[in-house]
Amino acid sequence: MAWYIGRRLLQMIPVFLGATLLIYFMVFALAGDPIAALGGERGLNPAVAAQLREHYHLNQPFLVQYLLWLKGLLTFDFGTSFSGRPVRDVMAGAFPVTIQLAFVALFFEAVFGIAVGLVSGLRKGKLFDSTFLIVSLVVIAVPVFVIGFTMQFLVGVKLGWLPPTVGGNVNIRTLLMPGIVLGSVSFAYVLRLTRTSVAENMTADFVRTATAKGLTRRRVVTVHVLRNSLIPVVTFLGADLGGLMGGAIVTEGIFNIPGVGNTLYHAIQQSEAPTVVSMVTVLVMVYIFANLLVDLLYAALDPRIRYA
Amino acid sequence: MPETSRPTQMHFFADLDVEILEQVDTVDETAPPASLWHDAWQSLRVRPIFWVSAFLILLVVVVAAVPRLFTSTDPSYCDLMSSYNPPGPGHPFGFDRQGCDIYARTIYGARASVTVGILTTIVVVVLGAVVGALAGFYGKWFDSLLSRITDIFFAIPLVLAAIVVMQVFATHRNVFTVVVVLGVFGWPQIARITRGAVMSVKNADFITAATALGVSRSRNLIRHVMPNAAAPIIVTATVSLGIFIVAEATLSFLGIGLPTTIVSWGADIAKAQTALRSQPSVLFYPAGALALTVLSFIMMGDAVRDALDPKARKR
Amino acid sequence: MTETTTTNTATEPLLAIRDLEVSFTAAGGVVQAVRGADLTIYPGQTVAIVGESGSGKSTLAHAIISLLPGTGRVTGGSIVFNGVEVTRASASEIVAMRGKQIGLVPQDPMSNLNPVWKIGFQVKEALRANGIDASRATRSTLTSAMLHDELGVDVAPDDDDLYLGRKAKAALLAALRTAITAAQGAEAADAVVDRASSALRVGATTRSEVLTILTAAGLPNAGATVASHVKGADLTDRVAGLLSEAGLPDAERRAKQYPHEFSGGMRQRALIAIGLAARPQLLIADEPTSALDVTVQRQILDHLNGLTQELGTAVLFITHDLGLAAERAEHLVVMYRGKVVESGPALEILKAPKHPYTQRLVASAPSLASRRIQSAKAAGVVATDLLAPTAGEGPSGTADHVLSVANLTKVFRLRGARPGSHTDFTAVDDVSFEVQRGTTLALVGESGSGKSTVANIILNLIDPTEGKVYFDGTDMSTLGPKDLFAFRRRVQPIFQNPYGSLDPMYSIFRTIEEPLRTHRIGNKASREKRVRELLDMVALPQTTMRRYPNELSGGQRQRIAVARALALSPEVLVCDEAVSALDVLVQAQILTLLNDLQAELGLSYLFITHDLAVVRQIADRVCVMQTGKVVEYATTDEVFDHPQRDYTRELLEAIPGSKLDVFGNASA
Repeated sequence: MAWYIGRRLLQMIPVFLGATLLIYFMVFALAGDPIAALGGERGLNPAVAAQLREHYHLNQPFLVQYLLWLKGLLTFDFGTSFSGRPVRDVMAGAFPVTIQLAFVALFFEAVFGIAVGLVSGLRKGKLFDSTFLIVSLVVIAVPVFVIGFTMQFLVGVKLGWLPPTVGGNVNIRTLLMPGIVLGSVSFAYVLRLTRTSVAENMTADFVRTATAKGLTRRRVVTVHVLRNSLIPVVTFLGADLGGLMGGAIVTEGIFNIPGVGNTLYHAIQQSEAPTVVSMVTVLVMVYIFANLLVDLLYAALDPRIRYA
Repeated sequence: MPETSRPTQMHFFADLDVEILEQVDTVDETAPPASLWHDAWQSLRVRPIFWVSAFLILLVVVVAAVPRLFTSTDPSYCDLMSSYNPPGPGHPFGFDRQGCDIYARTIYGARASVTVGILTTIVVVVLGAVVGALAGFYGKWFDSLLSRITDIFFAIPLVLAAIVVMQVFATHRNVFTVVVVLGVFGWPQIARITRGAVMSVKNADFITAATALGVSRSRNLIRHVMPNAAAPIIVTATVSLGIFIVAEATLSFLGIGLPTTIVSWGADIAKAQTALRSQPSVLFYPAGALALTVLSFIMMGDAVRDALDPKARKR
Repeated sequence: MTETTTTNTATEPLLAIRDLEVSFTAAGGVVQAVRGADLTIYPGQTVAIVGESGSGKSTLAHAIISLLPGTGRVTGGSIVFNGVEVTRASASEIVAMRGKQIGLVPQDPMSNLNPVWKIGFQVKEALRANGIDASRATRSTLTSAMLHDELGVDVAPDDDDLYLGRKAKAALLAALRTAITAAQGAEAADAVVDRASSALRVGATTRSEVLTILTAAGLPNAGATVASHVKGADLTDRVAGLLSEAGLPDAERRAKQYPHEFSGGMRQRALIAIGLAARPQLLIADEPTSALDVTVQRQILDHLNGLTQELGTAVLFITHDLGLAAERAEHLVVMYRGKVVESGPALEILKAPKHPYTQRLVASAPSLASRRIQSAKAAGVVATDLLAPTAGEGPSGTADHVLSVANLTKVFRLRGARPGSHTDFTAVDDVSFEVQRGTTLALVGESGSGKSTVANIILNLIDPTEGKVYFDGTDMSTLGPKDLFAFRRRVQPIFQNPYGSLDPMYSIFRTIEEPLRTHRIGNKASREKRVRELLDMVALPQTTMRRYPNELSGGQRQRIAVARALALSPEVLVCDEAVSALDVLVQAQILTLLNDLQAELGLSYLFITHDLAVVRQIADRVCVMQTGKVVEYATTDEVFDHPQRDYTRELLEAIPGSKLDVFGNASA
């Protein structure tokens, strides 16, 4: 087990280095001179520009820049943004909000996705199943921003059940609707995955054997079908956590949530390169660790997986 | 217990009329030959969902190719005087805030979405299938290397990466930059699926048999492995086509996709946001067209998956 | 105890199936899987259904406990079990009947246990679901009834039937150790306790048996001690007991393991424990051992037989092997395409099959055929028509070895859990043999014997760690890529699974043409001519070449595989379990085809199989392998008549039908 985790951590290193190098390249090199973009119409005072270039090592070769940045990263020094604010502070403000939002979304998609998927899988081809199959297709097909607007308008403005925007007021009540919107596509995937998996397990030989033992249908479904069907679903949910955090840009924009997505989007627009690089890096790390967690979870859920 | 006490278990044999044997091992020589693709087609053609999605896809493609067939109104001609005007003759969907004809914009918006969807899918399938096939078939260190590279691109969320790069391309955004960006960050999924499919096929007996015949490794990969691994790739590609259309719309919605000079559903949806309260139809038409397009590709993917599923076919 | 159902007299059937019809609704319409089948089982009786795949035998069995898969429905007839009409029973009646009155031992041990639950849990479920009192042995209704009838005793719950619990076992063994140490010393105590420990099985040994064992072991005042300790088993104890009754050693520890930690045979024992957990009156055993090695198969069936006889359980045994059925059941039901074509006492059917289908089955079953050859030889009859035609006649001394293998060894390096760690696994260990031109050498062994690895080395698909393969006297390891390519023409494989060995995307024409094209033989027209020729050779119509593998039956696919292998006119065919996956009659046809081709083309075969029965029909020499080593290597007659090693004898005895005495006096 320890060796397995060790090996997985070792495998993560090249992925981490590669991904950060790629991000750093996209933000700092691909864009040309990030400082030049800063001044806007009037251009920056040359002395200030030179100072900034010095500070961000922009007059060094690209790889040296990257390594110096990486060195800072390893000591949890994310640097300062062009506007002078430590990037760490920027992130400390944004991440807790997005983490809360992601968990609301995860909770929604897990609970409803599994519940509906289970019933659909057990009644494959019946009305309930067909209805939700269509619902899931529509949810996948309609872009999340359209769902967002519509819900914001209907639930928030017209019906007034939930606050239409979040702003500075971050709590479960305000995050509920954005969370559902953010998790809507994944809800459809969880539903479909659970449905397929349940329907497949229902025809498995071991389920027939369990029935032949004299177990009631209820017990067969809960003990033998559900547990086995949840293995791929849990794997999906784990991997999705990383995706939810990185994919919150649109949702956070619509509901005006001061989270990672919003901050990042504005940083990109304002060419705040140091902030962009650091935030994307943290998101990538969340993704990589979520995947490691999924692998371990998988091994815990399925005794057949050996740590080799 | 003596057998005689069991009248129901005497030696019994059926009439000798049971059709026997020889025909068990004969071929119906009159039936047309049925390859796997032929079989898949047979099961597809009886499914309404296939015909519905095929019709929709065809319609969208035709609209994208020759929008003039469907409207004579110029989508970029806008007259502020007709801002938010209701539907009228020749303008079935009414006008948006700038006074542009919504119907014409919806029709012309198809081209951007469909072009991006199809081109991106081609890029992604070529990149992903090559990397996945090589990794899966040759294995060992080669697989480790390619899989790590796949992981790197997989670890960066598609939309996030696209936003960062599109911001860089601020001055020359067009359909091709969007395709390149989505393609470069979208291939890992196909690569993983291809790799898995190739790995499950490469140990089949018919591959071993071909090797024993003297068929070379590369020929084996191209002639035997890839055709048998094609089904999941086709299915994933069809579904991804829809997903890429959504991604393009998302970028345009965020204002960093296609430039405003190109009519696109994503940008129109973004513009409609402000008017949602009073004029829901402004949002409804582009969003509906987008959703219907994506839906038809996803439904097609589902239908093809069912038709190609070996488990469903056997028995 | 409310367990007082109708007491069966022996003349009243336990299960009576009349005119049963079962159909499945498929896309193409309604398919009748069972067409008017009759079947009767009396209490305590073993009845076997014999049939090929698709004969409806499993469907019939599943209909009895209403476990028909998918769209399957009973469309006519009746199933009466213990006076209850199953086809009209309510869902809850059926749930009550499953497990408790009718148990099931399913076919494939690999897929029938839930991989995510421990074995013990899955057995325990069967006890819980049926409300079984785990503390004491329950006597089957049949035994109770018989005791009542014969002795006039009413069977009341008796404390002598209490099972030994695991705590009680520990306490009793401790007491025994103290007593024996005091009397005879510590060393003697160790031996005595060890013996008692293996005799006392938690959850399976009853109090009266415990008393007997411990008294024999020398425990003073055993009666009182045993009575004070043995208070019955809990569910966990009983699970271990059931597993050990099913023949699983070390059951208490094994119950805590997961299915993937079990071998196929062990899983099948666990499934038997589940099937018998609630002491049903009828056990349906659906091909319970066909996925297992022959020797394991034999052990498990012997065990199952003993267990069901002891419990008085009736058994419905489903199998494709006529020999096995006749050996295990007193009554046979032969099914063909959903119909019962013949039924009756087992020996009667074997000796005088009436229906043409049964006659062919009796003639083709390899187990019976090899018996028949043995009996014929014993009776002094020259049964040449039964034996493989030998092309290379007699031991003429001119040893023409087309293929020889010398000191072949293959070590696989398995990666361990730690980085850099590995274990070496010797799959093939110092194997040598020769194949004489125009003859057949059978390489026989059970799974894990290394026989397929040898085949792959000979086909040059993997390299040996040590040793050499000589083909026509040439050392294969010296061949360069070009010579190797040429060598491929001379040795061709035929694989086990006819569904996996043909590329489903290739038409039959392309499949057979591929070797010709690969070796650049002829032009388009001549290649097509050759393909037609080959199809004739394997007795398939030439029109087949436009078809695809999925349109053909297993037997036809195997013929295509033979045609492809013959395309390059090879000298040696390596048949890796080439007939094992086929139905009996098709198997016989393919074997005949192979024999004919050998006679016609002078081919040499390396025939790899686990089935000694088939070997008797086709091979000239036999090489028996066990765990990578050759244990016996001789002519077929010698191996069958005078086996030198225990392992070979065990394999021979495991051929079903060894206990039958059918052909000794019957005319073959």
